[in-house]
Amino acid sequence: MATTRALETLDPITFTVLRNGFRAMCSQGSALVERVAWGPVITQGRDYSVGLLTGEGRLVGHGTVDITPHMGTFEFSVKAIVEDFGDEMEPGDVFIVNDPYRGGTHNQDVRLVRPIFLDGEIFAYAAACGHWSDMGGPIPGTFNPAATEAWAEGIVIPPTRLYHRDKPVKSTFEFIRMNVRVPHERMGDAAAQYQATKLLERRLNEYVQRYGKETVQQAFEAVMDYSERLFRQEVAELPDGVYVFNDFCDHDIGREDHPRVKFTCRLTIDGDRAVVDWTESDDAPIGPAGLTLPALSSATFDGTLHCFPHLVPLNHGIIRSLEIKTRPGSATHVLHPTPVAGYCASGYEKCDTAMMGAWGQVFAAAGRPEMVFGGTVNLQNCCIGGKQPATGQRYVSYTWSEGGQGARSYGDGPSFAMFLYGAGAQNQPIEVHERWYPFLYEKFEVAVDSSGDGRYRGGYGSHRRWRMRGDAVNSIHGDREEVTPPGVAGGTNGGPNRLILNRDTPEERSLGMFATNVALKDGDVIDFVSNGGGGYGNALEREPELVLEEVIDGFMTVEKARAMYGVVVEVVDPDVHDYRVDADATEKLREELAGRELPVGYGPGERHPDGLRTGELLAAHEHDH
Amino acid sequence: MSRYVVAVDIGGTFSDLVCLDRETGEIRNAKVPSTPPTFIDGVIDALDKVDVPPADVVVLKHGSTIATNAIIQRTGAKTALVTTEGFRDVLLAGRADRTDHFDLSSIEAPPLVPRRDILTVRERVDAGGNAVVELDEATLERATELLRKRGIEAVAVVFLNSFMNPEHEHRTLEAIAKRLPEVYACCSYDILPELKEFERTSTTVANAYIGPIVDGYLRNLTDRLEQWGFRNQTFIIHSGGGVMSLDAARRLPARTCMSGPAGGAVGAAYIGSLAGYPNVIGFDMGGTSCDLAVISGGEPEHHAGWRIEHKIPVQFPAIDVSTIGAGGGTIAWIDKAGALRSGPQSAGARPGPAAYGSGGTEPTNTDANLVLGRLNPATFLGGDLPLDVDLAAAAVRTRIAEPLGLSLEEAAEGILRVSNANMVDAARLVSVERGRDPRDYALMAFGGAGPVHAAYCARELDIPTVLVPRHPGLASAFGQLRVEIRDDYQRALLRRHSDLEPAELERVFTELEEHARESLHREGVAEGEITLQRTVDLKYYPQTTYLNFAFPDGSVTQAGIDAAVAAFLERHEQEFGYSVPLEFTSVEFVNARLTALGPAPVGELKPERGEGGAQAAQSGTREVHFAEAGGWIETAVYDRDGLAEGARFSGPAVVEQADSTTVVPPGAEVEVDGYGNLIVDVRGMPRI
Repeated sequence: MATTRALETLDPITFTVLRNGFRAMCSQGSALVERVAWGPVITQGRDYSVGLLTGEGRLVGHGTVDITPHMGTFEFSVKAIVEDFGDEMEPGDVFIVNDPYRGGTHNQDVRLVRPIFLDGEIFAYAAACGHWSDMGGPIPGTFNPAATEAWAEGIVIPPTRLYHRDKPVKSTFEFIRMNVRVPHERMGDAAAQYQATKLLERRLNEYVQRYGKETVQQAFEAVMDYSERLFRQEVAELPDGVYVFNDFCDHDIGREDHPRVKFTCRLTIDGDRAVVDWTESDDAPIGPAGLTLPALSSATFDGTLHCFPHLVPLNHGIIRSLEIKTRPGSATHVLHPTPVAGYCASGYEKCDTAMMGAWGQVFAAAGRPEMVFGGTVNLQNCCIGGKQPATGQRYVSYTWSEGGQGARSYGDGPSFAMFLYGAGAQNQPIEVHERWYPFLYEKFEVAVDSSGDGRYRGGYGSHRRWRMRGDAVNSIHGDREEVTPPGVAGGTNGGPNRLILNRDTPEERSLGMFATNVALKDGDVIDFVSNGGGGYGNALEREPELVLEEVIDGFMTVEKARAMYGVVVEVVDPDVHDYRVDADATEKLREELAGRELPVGYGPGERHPDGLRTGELLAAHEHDH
Repeated sequence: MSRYVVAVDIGGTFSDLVCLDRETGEIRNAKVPSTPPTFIDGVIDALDKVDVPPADVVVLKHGSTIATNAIIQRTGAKTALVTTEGFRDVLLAGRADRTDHFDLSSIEAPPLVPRRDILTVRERVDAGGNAVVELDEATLERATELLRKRGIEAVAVVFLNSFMNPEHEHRTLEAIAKRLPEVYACCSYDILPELKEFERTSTTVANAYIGPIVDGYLRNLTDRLEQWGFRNQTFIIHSGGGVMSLDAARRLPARTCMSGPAGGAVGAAYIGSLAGYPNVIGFDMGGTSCDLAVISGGEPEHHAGWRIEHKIPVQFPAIDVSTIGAGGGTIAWIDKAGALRSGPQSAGARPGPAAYGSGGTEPTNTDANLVLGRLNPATFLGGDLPLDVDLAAAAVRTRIAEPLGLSLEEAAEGILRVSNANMVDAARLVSVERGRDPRDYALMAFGGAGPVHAAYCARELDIPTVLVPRHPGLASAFGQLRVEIRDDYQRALLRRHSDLEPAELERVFTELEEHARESLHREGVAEGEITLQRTVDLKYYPQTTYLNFAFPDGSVTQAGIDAAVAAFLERHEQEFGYSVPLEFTSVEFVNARLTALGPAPVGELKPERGEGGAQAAQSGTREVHFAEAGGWIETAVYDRDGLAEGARFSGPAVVEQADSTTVVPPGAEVEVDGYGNLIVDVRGMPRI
């Protein structure tokens, strides 16, 4: 109960100043990483995070635009380091760890952790994590969809001292340098993260000097209490019950028949308790389709905080309020040596989506459709490695693509949105890509007709195409070519992710979302299409004028408008945008289509069964009230 | 005669004019309603009102919110974008980031150009500047034909990698100019020759979108000023806290966006420093919006570009100002869930608040303040615009009080509390959210509505002091009196340090300098008065953001380049704690920049002499409603013009002056300083 007192005894101004100060120092640390780091995944993809933890390793906060798959892992990383170093830690130490099973997510997410000392004791920890573009292994970029064992991915670094008395530990740096591609870039990334931990140490000391150690410690507790109190209050207002949402990876390509992998989120609301049970998920895959416990923890909080955005940033107050149940050895809690490099596009994204889907059902049952969201585009990790034709220098590119965000109960999903868990991430400017890599882009436009449909449609996917200069190899670890972003309340699932080599030529070949080391030759053309977002509600209830506008703008074809929405658009003179809705024909067609049952399933154009359940909960609430 | 320096600032609701007599230090001012759609009448009205002989005005500095408003309200020209075939959606895509990391609820405003009017031309320049696909005349011809058929008024031309080779953009511009001479057209190379297609496209499109409006406006303005008898120079204020010529403003209309806020920040910094408050948060609340600027140590903060909206970045160097939709004319409304909301919609200047009697029926902040007795209907705007209390009360009653089952006063108090909370949230973002303790700052309340709301916002933010300048309605215009000519030019270099020839850099700087000089000469600046500042943007090759370094004048030598690289390595080491040996990487010269400064006459404030305590300035009392004091209470009313240095009084009080009203709530204490500023200590106010 000492902790509850913290919130009440701390004066409210100091509480606000320190609470925002913690958040601000993390965000400043993040901004520093983004600005100073080397790899484009960090500087443009914003695939980094900076966290502040108490001396006991409880999370106080993180940067507000940090990538979310890291946020549940801070406490695990610190715990691993404390387990291995305990009393040996000294002021000026900075530890490195990327072990996905004990401390993190996948090999590429490399964490630097600094214990912050005060009066000879550890007072807090600063952690800075960044996605390093290559961590060695057989595939440039370290994503290896064909891996069936951890050793086929990249190097694993257990908790290891990287700086001692704020001086680099040469042997550790040399070890990394010898095991990764383009090592000097990684040295820049390491330096940036190191500086961020230093910034946190400095800023925290400023607060300690101004407000005193005790007050800062009280504020740590108060920040957590505040979040816990708010979260529990809000959960208590939601209807008790059990809510289930399933999602699937397209394939476990480690198994011969490439089966789907199921992720089941069973959310129980009981008073102010929320229990998230993942144990019904499939057994661990052979290939890299699952996720580790720290990563699952992130996914659970990520999917939750999208429904409670005012509670951001995550801290231990929320962490201790949400009970997570897993089954070690299952797809949601894989153990060494199950491979994990592609965890984010596969298991992580599924758990995130399923978690949001389950909360969506809770809010539907509460009669709050504004908190129900269609599914959003999934990340695709498309890596190309080769040599620059002009200089012979080695390069590794890592491309991800934005796409459709899910529809809402009151509006269409935005197009060209980042995947759910990387909202702070940005796309990569074509002009920057072309300067760094021997690519010549031919296209960057909307993927026409790619939205999941409904009264409100999901956002459109994007369509990129580029021509290779020089030979190279291509690997991709994505997902959602078959099981696409779910539609809700009768809306359809969004369009697929696709990667096609030399499209519309005799050599056309779909590479799928799990290709490994495909040889590319000079002049090959890569065609890369991303998911549309899931739709919301019945497409036949969409206002015909909205459909017309989309046709005029070329987002949707006349054919799709007719088939999916029952809207008949007459094209009179495209030169002056003269398109018209044939009102009579539309009315007639909509009457004909009124009784149709779109297929139920997980693929594009189908209706997700658990999304339909969300619609039933909404309808039941409306009926009752 | 060159006695008067005049600055005029057109806001969405009011236009402010301030005129400084450089001989006596006397300030004359005028505040008049803005006069959309042309806005010119308001400027002339204001000039007539201050009654200065046109021939004695040495310079007129002019800022306006016309461009910004046209963008926010989507009332700019019918604009098309002509771009590279295959890349139609660069504008829509933006950088794909959300406004909020977790909140998925935002509905984004439509882009300035709908997709249907984004036309493509076959052409392609690669990253090295080579035309790998020649400009195709047939698709260009077709695009031009569609522009004509569709009655397009403005065109932005943006091709990929054009900053490396502008030929295709320039040929396209020529073709458009030839076929459609009446259409305003600009290309990205001329606007922002910089890497990154989205930011460049956005800036160029924003520029085209407001080009015809600004062009037409400046033409009218020049004509009308000439009729008025003004023969001296007019300057247009820009976002960087400087002024530019009319020609430059026609070329770069997007740079006129945010000129008012930039002026406000310059004014707040100056007035705050004079009053002994180098740390202030500028709180400039006008009719439609509230601008917040943080000034630490007397200096406004700058940034490399800003966003008019989340997906409309404008990449010109600018003073860092955050704007939210909260002003006197901001409309209060009840949302679907039955909650009282405020803004961001504004009643603007027409019809304006219900109390204006111009047909507005929606209750605004001004109406709420009037209902509570905080504003004086007879003296608002010095009595030029009498307010109708009954209309205000009717709007508050029918739209808010009755639906919510509240009394009239409760509803009016509620409107203000919601509106204040919005401003407090925004102010937190720029202060505590950036780790700054508000207790170290003063809130400088200006704009017509700032001093009406500031005390409550400050109390909520734990800012101890509110500083109300002598002429709060004119602080922004006053800041504009102080700005001088500043033109910024840039050219992309994108060369690794080892590949950059001194001769090449010299050629770039020489061209920019010739251009800058020529432009300043045309504006009548003598050679000896021109200051040119060269800088270069440097980064490690793989990084995406750069640092800016001064570069020496004169002929460019290898030693100069090496020194810049060394300076970069050193500063990187200093600021970020590491540098990478050049054997592993290279330093990239990203942009060459040139800032050309020219003098423009400025004004200085002088301390005010006066005597007499507060009592002498009290013009009477009236009943004002303060919920925290239990309702309607007898409240002292002071005439600002009668308050001199040393005067002290306590809230509740209302201070009236022509350009604003200061509300001093119960518990607040006021003292007048030597410049006539009200220093309001809000620490004694009860929290509501």
